[in-house]
Amino acid sequence: MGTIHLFRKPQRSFFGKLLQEFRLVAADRRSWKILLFGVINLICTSFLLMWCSSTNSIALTAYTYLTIFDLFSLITCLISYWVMMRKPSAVYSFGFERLEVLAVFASTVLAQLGALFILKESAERFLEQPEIHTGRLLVGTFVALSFNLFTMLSIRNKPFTYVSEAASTSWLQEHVADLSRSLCGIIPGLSSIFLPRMNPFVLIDLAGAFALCITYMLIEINNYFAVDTASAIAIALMTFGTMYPMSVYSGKVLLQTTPPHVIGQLDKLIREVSTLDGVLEVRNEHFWTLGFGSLAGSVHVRIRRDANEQMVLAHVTNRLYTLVSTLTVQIFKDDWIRPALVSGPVAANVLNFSDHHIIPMPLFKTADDLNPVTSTPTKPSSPPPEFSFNTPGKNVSPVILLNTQTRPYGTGLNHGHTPYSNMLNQGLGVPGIGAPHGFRTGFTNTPSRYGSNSRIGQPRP
Amino acid sequence: MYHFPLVVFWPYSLWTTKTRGAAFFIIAVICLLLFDNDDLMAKMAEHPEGHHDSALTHMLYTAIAFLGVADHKGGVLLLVLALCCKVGFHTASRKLSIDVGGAKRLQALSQLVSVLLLCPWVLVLSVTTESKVGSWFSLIMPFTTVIFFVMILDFYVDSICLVKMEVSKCARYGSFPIFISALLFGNFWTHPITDQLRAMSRTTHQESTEHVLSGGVVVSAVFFILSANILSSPCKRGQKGTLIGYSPEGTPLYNFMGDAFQHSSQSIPRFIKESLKQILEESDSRQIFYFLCLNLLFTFVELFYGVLTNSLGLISDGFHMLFDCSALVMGLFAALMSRWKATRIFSYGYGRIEILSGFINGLFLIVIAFFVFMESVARLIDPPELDTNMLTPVSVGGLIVNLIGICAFSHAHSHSHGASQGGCHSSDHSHSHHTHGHSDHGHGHSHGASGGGMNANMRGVFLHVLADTLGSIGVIVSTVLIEQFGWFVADPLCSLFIAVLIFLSVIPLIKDACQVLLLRLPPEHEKELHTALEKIQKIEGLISYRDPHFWRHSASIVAGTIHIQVTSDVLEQRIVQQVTTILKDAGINNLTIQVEKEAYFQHMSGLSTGFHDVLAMTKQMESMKYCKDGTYIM
Repeated sequence: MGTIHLFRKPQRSFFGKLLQEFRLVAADRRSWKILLFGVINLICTSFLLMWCSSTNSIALTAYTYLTIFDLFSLITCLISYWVMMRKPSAVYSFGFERLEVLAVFASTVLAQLGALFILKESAERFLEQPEIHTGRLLVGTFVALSFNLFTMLSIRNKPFTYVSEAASTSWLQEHVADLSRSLCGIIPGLSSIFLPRMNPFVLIDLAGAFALCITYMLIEINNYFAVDTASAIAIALMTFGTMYPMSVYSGKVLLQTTPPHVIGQLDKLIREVSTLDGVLEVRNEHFWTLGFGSLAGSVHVRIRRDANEQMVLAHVTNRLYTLVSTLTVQIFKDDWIRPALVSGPVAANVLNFSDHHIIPMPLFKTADDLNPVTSTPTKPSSPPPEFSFNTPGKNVSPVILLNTQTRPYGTGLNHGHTPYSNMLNQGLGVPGIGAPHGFRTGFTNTPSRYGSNSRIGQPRP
Repeated sequence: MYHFPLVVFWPYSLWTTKTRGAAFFIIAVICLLLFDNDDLMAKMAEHPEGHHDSALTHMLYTAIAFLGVADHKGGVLLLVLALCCKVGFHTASRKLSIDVGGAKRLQALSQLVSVLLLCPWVLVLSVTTESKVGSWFSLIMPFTTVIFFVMILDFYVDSICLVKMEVSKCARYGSFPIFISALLFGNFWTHPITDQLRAMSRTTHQESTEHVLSGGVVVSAVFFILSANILSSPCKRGQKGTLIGYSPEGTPLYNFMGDAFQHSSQSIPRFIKESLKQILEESDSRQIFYFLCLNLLFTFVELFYGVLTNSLGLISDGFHMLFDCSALVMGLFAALMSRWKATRIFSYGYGRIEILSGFINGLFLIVIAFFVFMESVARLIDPPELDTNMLTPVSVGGLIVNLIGICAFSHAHSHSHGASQGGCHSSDHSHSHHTHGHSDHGHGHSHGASGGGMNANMRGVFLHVLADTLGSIGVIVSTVLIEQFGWFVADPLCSLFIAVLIFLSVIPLIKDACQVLLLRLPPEHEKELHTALEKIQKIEGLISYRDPHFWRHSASIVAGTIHIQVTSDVLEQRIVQQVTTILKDAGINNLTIQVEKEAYFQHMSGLSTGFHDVLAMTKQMESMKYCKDGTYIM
């Protein structure tokens, strides 16, 4: 019981907050219509539920759940209005766009769970078929159908429209498309209505109403009560079929996956990035959709040791920015602590940069205190914005940034203030003080690709 | 009828049309079963055909009656069975006919075999029953017609069709006459003209058991024709893909999955073996699996016993258990999938699936709580009479099963948290009474509320088991109250209470899962992250940071991205290293740090993609200048 007490306190403030947010949304005129529809929906649903219990028909119950799903979709619509008004907060740093996705996901999953419940109930009913009263069956069907269609067609429900278009087709849609393709072969005029694919919600409303009509007919004519159960199962299966692709789509957004339809474009961009000069490899690429549509992503780019980080960063960002709106690019160089000599592929065992360099950190800080950074400064006037990116050596000051602090294990121990060329020679003169031998052999084999090697000089054969 | 089988199991089929055809076929069979009404339903109890001649016929009759269908429907079932056999024969026959040497010889052989199979029946029947046949000579004529039509004519027509036409066309057009003639036969069977022809059954046939062609039969014949037509229509293999969706630009995307998809499936036993091995590898999935097995065992015992004793309550409880098992199955799949390797699409790995499954499980429980609530309100208004005899043993059994589950899962729970638990020392004694159950429940409850969103999947499963346990306890308590005091209100009150309890215990799970799914700053790292950001601010050479995003991706991954602006005289890699260390200390283990100098913004404005971007960039540069004021030279 203690937990309940604990729980009650935040709940009250939660309701207060909810009320406040609700007022915020209700201030918008567009949401009035939705609220109106919501109220009508509640009335309609309660009538339908009453008729369900009076007719004792489970098929009508299954159809009523579709109306309840409509209510959820109205709520989702409200949420999407709210999301548009809200700015990202400190805790929800990406904003609330995903709330929309979550709402779509939750409502489709709830509809499926309702269908599962219907399946279970109808499995029990097969054992003992109760009597169905057809009195309000047809009335309920048409009330629910007209209300559902009215809601679907009169309210522009942005999130659900998007999902129903973006998600893969349900089997119901596929069958209808298949049938209508042959139908449109006969009457070409119909293709504008049926052909690409029908709106899944309209489709399931119509199909459910059709099943209920058949049920009514058969019960009226011959008292086949089992039809009711059968059509309940049919409606439940159709609900599954309709909702499943949508919940898969929104679930994949929630799972932070790369949407399959952008993979081709992304691949192209990444290939472009990896051919930029100075870029050695692109890895840890994570791209995912934030809400419906906008991509977010992060990527690690490993560059040559003498490449200009900011230039590469700018170019990578520029390339990817066209597709990925929330982008973070981490540029890293292997083994940057050693003075930059020549570039080259480095042995694979140092690829995990962060693991490699984490240990000496505290020592760094003390070193910072002892001698402040006195690295050779870059030209204060930064390079002119010229974009012949293939020759970085031309624009960027040829001075390579040097780190001069005493390092616990670094190689360039006390070459701090020595001129660049001097240091270079010394660095070369002392082979393999701190660096593993693998590196040496690694880069002596590879010829440098561009002009700077004349400056740096070829290391020993 | 044996024309569909060729196509039902056609390996490369256009998926949708074929499924539709198969569905039509099934609907047709169901129509035959359900809607071919005999007005003689009432007669089902006694023997509609009167006295059975032999023990064998009687046995067959009882076997069919055991399945709960009328004897005509038993005939339909037998036909379906025969159809399956025919399918098997046909798939084997292509190879067999080559082995035997010619289709004709195979046909003859198969007839011989069927005669041999039928012989013992005939012998038994003729020995056990007195013969009703007056003269054997009058039988010759019908026999020859039967032999001629069924054996010889059929074979030759079939083979001629096969030679002259394609297989698919033959099957397509062949089905029409078959169904239509079947309908006509059905209609005119009782006609006086046909009475002349069927001399054999005149003696046994009475006017009373006459069958009229019902609407169900006509409908099912229509469905049969449709399904035959669809299934035997030529496959347009690989011609078009199926529409799978639209790209954001609005162009349709097609899925060309033809034969490759069919071929890639591995053999079923191996697949089961592999997945079993995977399941048993890790403790979470192992526990769920064992508990699922236990639960299923209990369910099937319950169902079997229910069928045996014809108790409806038991059977429906069994269905309820199956319904609950679906949550367990989902949890099992999630636990299994969460260990899959990262792919292009799931770039962080599949760990987040556990959270999603926890969320779904939470929704599931809310739905259950809602239905229990509605039901109990309805019962509160109108309390029904209950039969409590059967309930107690079942609910005690369920309680035991669920208690085992609770123990297992709470142990797994505490292990995964690394937290020491007071523990559920009760192992599975069979004499668990409800006080015990209550104490157990208290423990589980507090735990569920306090567990900080670590493994949402296990939490969801645990809560589910907990809800089941509560249900069993509620049933036991209400049974005791009803039997002792006759309080029939106790039952709805108990379920009301349980519904509320389930709902309240689920809310923390849903809240946590929502927070993770909405990419909230992980609450358990919030304080550390604050101090970490403050520390980052103090790094030398750092001007400011922007867009700090930190979120929990899955139980093991906390991801983060941050943009950092530095003065142009520091080494980027050093900054990256320092920030990485600080944030790693704060618990972020998947980091991306973008270090920007002023040069970056200039490059970007040069490369500029658009006016707005430039505007934003220049604003940032301004802010940078303000920050560093004097020392920073533009």
